[in-house]
Amino acid sequence: MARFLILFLVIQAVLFGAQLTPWGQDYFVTPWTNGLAHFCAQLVAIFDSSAIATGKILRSATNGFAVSIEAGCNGVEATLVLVAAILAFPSTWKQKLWGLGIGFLAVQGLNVVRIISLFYLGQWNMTAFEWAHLYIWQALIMLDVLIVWLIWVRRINRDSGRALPPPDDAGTPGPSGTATPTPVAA
Amino acid sequence: MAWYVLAPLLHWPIRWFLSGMALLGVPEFVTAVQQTLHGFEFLTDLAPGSTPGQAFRPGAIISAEVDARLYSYGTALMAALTLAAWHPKRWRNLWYGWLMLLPLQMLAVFAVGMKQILLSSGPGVVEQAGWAQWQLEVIAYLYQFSTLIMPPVTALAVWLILHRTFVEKFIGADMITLLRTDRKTKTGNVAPRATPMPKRP
Repeated sequence: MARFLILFLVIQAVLFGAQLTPWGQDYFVTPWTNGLAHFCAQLVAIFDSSAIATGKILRSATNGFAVSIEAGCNGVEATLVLVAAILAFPSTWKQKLWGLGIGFLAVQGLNVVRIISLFYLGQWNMTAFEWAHLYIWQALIMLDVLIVWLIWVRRINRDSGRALPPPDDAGTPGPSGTATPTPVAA
Repeated sequence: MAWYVLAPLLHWPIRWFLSGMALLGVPEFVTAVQQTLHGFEFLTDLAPGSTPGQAFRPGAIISAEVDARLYSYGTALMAALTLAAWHPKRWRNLWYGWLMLLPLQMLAVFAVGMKQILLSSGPGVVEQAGWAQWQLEVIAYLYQFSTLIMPPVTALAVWLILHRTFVEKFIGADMITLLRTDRKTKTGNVAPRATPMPKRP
């Protein structure tokens, strides 16, 4: 448990520090955030052609309302927390990789919903926008991370369970087990 | 909504802690910390310094206001999850959870206050404070961490600790055993997934 906690904190601190460096910002965070704004604009354009993206800003050409995707709203931090939790948890690299892939999609998918919902909430009511922006969505994104991680842990636990069924009274694995029989103590 | 209304009350311990620190002279330039409706105001004995295009009245001092709700909304998240889990001792868990989150919220408010005083008030203020570059870097890191990650992550971590049984029911295994078993797997003592299939005759 201690090993997991220490690894989780260290990986998270290192990744978080790395993305704060000028190099991390120039080569990773800024291009990602700009791409996210353009992706959201293209998605919104399916049903609302007034949405345009300039850099990290998503703007409505109709009323001029714009949202700027800043740190904390680009899903990078939430993804880093999930990466740290998955890397720190003891599992095979194959399990980590599919966990990271699906987790990344889940977190970023919900983040796209967050950005688009805030874009329209802001045009409707600024108080609702502030509430959703500062409190509701921040909590929901991190809750998403927790749920994804728990589902991943449950899945890898089930995988382990299939590989090693509960031992019988003699201490040997069940008939479908893949483990070698353990010698019975004399 | 309840948290939003109760926030000034829930922030009281943070005020006592920060005021106590100010009384002890930690950090030395903060003279007092006052609670406002939504947060705290750090009063200092630092002068604004000379900023091009800006004039200050004689005797002006630097102060910084921090909206503590931005760093304490994890309490609401923790409370919502605790009530949703419907643990028999949910009210005790709410109390413990709030107590466990308080030190982290104090740290966040302190880091944000220091960031506003030292990193957002101009080079003249930093000179007066006399803090080393590494100390400023730590404050900048803590500020970013407190703003972007700490509030929800700490709330979820506290909830996980207080509701381990609930979470283990969902996972289908004892978390500690899972971690220990897998660690043994890595060292090769017990290797359920790595053990080869016995050869059939």
